[in-house]
Amino acid sequence: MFEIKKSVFLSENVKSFEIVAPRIAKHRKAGQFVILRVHDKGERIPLTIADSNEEQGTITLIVQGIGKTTMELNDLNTGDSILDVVGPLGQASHIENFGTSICIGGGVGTAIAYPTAVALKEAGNYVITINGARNKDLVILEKEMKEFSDEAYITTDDGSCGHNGFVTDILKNLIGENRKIDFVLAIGPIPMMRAVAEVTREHGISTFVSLNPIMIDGTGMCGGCRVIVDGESKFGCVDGPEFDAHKVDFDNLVNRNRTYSKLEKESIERSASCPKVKASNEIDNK
Amino acid sequence: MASFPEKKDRMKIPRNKMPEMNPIKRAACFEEVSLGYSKEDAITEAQRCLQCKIPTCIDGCPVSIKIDQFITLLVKEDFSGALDKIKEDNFLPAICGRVCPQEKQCEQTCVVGKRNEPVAIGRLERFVADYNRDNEKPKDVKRAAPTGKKVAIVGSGPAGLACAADLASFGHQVTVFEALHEFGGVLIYGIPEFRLPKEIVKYEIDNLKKLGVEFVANSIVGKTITLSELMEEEGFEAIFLGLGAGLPTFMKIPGEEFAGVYSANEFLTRVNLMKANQFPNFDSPILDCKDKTVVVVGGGNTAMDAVRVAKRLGAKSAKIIYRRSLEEMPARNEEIHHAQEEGIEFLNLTNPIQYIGDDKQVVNAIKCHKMELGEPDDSGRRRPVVIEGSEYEIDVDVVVVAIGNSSNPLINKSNPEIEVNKWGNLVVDEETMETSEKGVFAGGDIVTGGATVILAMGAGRKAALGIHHSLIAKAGKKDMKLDEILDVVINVEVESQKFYRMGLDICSEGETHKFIKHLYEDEIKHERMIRNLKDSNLYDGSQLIENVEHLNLEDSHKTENFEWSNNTTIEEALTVAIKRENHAFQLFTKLVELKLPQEIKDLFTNLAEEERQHLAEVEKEYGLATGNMGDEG
Repeated sequence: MFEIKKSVFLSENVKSFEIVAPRIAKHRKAGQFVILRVHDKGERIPLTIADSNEEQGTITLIVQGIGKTTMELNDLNTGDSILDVVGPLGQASHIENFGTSICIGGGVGTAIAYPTAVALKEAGNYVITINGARNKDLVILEKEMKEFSDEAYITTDDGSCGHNGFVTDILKNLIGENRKIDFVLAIGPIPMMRAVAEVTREHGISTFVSLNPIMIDGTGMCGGCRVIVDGESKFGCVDGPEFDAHKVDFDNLVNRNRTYSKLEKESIERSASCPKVKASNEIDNK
Repeated sequence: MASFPEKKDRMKIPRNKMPEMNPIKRAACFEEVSLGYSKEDAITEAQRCLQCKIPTCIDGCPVSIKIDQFITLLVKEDFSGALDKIKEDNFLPAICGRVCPQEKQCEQTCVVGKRNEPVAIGRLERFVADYNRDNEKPKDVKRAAPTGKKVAIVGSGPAGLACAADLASFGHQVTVFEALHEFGGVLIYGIPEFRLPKEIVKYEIDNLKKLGVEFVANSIVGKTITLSELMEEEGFEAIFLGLGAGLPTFMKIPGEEFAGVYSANEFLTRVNLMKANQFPNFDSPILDCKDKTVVVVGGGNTAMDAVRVAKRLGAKSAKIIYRRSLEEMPARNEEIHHAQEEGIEFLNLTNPIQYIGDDKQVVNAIKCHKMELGEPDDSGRRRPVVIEGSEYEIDVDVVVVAIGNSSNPLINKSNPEIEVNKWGNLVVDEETMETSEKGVFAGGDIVTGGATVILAMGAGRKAALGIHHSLIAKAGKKDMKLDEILDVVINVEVESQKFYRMGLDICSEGETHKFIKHLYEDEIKHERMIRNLKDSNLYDGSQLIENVEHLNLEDSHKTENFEWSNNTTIEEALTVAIKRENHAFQLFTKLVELKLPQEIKDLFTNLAEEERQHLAEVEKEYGLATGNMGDEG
C-alpha cells in the first residue's frame, strides 16, 4: 500500500498527490512514469511523475479525472492509500543545454512538462514555457512555471486567462520573431502535440513529445503500448515515453488509443466516482 | 495395499483416460479442463509401470525425477512418500504434472510406450501432488539453522520460486522481488486458469511464505531498486535473476500496429491477471470477442492458450494459423487435442503476410500465404515454403500474435556489465549459474530463451545450490576433513606447550615452577593422546565432518601474543594462562557436539574435562596470587 501524504485540487478535476514511495522517489528522473492500481479490481494505468522528494520519500502525481481509474483516484484524500504503485518506468527525458528551449504543456500535460522544463533550465537552457488550457479555471502550475521560466506564456481557448487561442499561436509568434529556437518539448492532448509537431517540422526544430499509449505492465512484457516511430514499431513503456515528434505516427496512436473507448465509457458510467453518477445519487438521496 | 501385477498382466492394462469436463460446457467457462485421476485410476495406471532395470523414462525428464521409485511408492499407496520422492528433484509437481510436454519427455522414453501407450507419468505426478494437497497436512519442510545470509530473488516465476524454496531450506533469508502486483510470473499472467488453476500457484507461494520467504511486489530491479543497492545497502550477499523471457516477438509485417492486433502476452495478461473476462466487474477491458472471429497466429502452448481463451470469451470462430503442419506443432498434444474438441479451427500451412484494417486502422482481415513443407531446417523440422500465387484473405475481428518471446532487455539496459549472448540472454557458468558479475546468478528463460516451466524450475534449483556454495565459501569451510580438525587441536596443544615452556625458562624453581611444569607436561600428554589416536588402525582422517563453519577452527590456534620476561608478574602470566585454558576448554566442548566417530568424541570429552581442570587450577592460582580468594566466599 502506498500512502497519500498530501492531496490537493489544482483545478476542478485536476488533483495533485504526494505519495509515499521512497524507492521510486530515489531513482526517478524527469520524464519517467509510474503504473498504479487503485484497488484489487482496478486496472493498471500509467501516470507521469510530476515531481519527487528523495528526502521525504515521496513522488508527486498530478491527475486529471477523465477515466474511471483517474476519477476514483481523485476521490482519494490525504491519509488514504493506493494499492499498487510501480516505477520509475520508461526512459528519462534527454536533458542537455540545447540553447533556447520551449516547453509546452496542454492541460494536465503541463504537470508532466514541468519537471523536464525545470531540468532544462538547470542544464543552462533559456527556457520559454507555454501553458495552455481550455479556460482560466483549468490553468495549473501558473505560479510554478512563471517562477523559473525565462519567459512564461499562458493561453486559454476562451481567453479567460492569457492569450486567447492555442499554444501554437504563441509558438508561431516566437518562431516568427526570428529567434533561434533549438528545442521544443510538447506534452498534452494528442491533437495539441501533433499541431506543435507540424509547426516546428517546417522550421526543422528538434521537437519531442511524451506519448500515452495503453499499457498493462509497463516493462515491455505486454506490447500493448506499441507506437510507430520512424516507420518502426517501438514500445512506449521501455523505449519511451518521449519520442521525436516529427517521426511519430499520430494517426496510429489515436486509433490504437480508441480501442476501448466504448468499454471505457461503459466503465465510467457505472462508477460511483463519475460526476454524473454522483450528481444523480445526490438527487436520489434528496 | 496394492502391488505390481505380473509383468505380462501389466502390459494388458490399458492407459487410464484423464477425466475431463465436457467440451461444450468447458468452452463456456474458465474452470479446469482436466479433472485429474481418482485414487483408483492412479493406482491402476501406476501398475502399468514395468519397473525397468534401466528406467529410460528418467533420461527423458529434464530434472531426472526418480520416476520408477515414486511409482513404486504410489502403487504401495504411500502417497506422501511418493511426493517426497518427486520433490527431491521437482519442486513444483502439481504444476509440472499439468504443463510439462510429457509426450516429448518422460513418456516418450517410457518402455511401455514402445508397444502400447506409455505410462501416464505426468498424470501420476499431478495426482500425487494433488492428493497430498487435498488430503494431507503440509509437511514441515526441513530447514537448516538460519545462516543469517540474505539472498534476493528477482522474478517470482517457476525459476525464482524453486530457487527461493531451496535457499530457504538451506537456512538463508530469502526475499523475492516481483515487478507485477501478483506473484507467480508466467504461471499467473500467462497460463490460463482452465489449464493451471491459480489456487495451485497460490498454495506453493503460501508454503514458501511459511518457510519464511518474503515477497515484495511492485519492484522492478534496475528501476525501483538496483543490483548494487541490494548488495551494498540492503545486505544481500547474492542475487538470483529469474526474469523470464517476457518480450513479445512480432513478425514485422504491415498492419501489425492496427487496433485489434494483440500480442499473446497482452491478450492473456488481460484475462489471466487483470480478469478482463469479468469486465465490467473488473476494470480492465478486452475487445469484445462474443460472436466474433478471433485468429491466433502460432502453434505453441501460448497460441493454444490464447485461442481457447478467445473461445471462452464467446468467439463465434476461434482459429489457429500455423505455418507448418499439425505434426510439427510445438504445443503439447493434450492442448491441441483439447482445442480440437472445443471447436478450434486449425489453418495449418498458412502464414500471415499482412493485416488489413478499416479507415480507423482497426484490423478486419489477414492476408495469408498457403505453405508447403520443404527440406528440414536447422531444427530438424521441415521448412515451410510459400506456394506462389496462393494469397488469400481471412476476415477477422481480433488477432493474437503468439509466435514467441525474447528476453526482456530491462536488465541489460540497467546493468550492461552483465554479459549477454547475441540473443540478449544472460550468460552463466553452467555449473554454478553465476553470471559474469560476482554474486549475481541467473536461470530460466532469461538464460535459455523461451523454454518450459520444468527447465526453469530445474535451473532455479541448480542456481540455489550454486548460491549456497558461494555463500558457504565466503563464510569459510562448512565441512572439514577429520585430519584437518585434529591438526587444529594439535596446534592448540603445541602453542600452549610453547607458552608454558617459556614460563619454565623464566621461573626456574619453587612452587610456581612446579605448577607450570605440571601444566606443561599435561599439554604434552594431550598432544600424544591425539597423535596416538591418529596412528590407530581404525582412524580415517579423510572423512568429512559437517557443519564446522561456526567454530572458526582455522583461527583456533591464534591467541594473543605474550612475551615472558624477567619483569613478567605472576598475575600477568596467569591472566594469559586463564585465557588459553578457557579457550581450549571451550574448543573441546564445542568439538564434542560435532558428528564425530565415537573414539574421537570420547577423546575430546576427556580433553575437555582435563582443560576444565586446568582452568580451575589456574583460576585458583590467580586468586591466591592476588589475594582475592575471599571474594568467592
